[in-house]
Amino acid sequence: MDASQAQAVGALAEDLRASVQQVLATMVEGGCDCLGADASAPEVALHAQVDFQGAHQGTLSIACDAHGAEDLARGLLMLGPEDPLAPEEVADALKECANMVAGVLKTRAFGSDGDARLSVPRLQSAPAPAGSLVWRVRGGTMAVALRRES
Amino acid sequence: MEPDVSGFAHTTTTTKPMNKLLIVDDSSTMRKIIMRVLRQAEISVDNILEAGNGVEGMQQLASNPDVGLVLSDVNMPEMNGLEFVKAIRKSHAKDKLPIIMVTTESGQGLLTNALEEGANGFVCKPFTPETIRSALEPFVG
Repeated sequence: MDASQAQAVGALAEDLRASVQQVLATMVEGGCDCLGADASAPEVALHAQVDFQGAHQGTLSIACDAHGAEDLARGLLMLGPEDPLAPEEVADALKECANMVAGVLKTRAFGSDGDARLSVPRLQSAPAPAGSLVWRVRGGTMAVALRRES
Repeated sequence: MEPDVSGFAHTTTTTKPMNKLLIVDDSSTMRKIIMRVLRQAEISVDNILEAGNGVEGMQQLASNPDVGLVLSDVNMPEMNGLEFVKAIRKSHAKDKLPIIMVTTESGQGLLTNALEEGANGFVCKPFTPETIRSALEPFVG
């Protein structure tokens, strides 16, 4: 990888970090902490993905351990620890989080006129991708990664 | 004119007291978040209806002709937000119904398309109660 490619990868990683931070700080009660890319990735209980299509192609992944997924959902919905929360609500919350991060990242990384379209978010049964940025959300852990294809 | 994506709303639609609001989003989480943020923004609505896509949204509007405002996602299966706006505007009875798009997509092209199809404003996700209040204020009396 030459210097300009490394710079582009670094800029995209920073855009990804800023996008996750913006979504979690704005929408998730209780906030979050970025543990960095070197932190150990969570044991994945739920994994959501959104594809970028068009001139910029790739896949955004957000994977959580069981605590992370539930805490993320409770934070988004402003639920207390004793409030009822169904598994399908947890899954939907993770997909919506991935959708919001992808939307913010698209604008940050590719500009408001960039030719990138977002897929509808989906659940995926796969471990967190290597090199994920790891976040602590309340008591749980969440890993975020972007795989570029172009 | 380029749309302002941070809660833009233009006021070509006559405002009227609103007692029914329709939220259209394929994410039940987002529908709940919007309801929570409406409360935080102190926007008072008597009755909030929900739909998971544009097709269900049209069914809700047919059953509830007194809906006073629509908040709609863009990226949805079956009938997306732009198709939904177009379908509403094709209905003669719904040509004045205010429609605010609530979207992660903030591309100028998309927003301009939505305005041309008849949307009245935008809220970009993630949003705060202040953003929602600012976008809805012209329509909630």
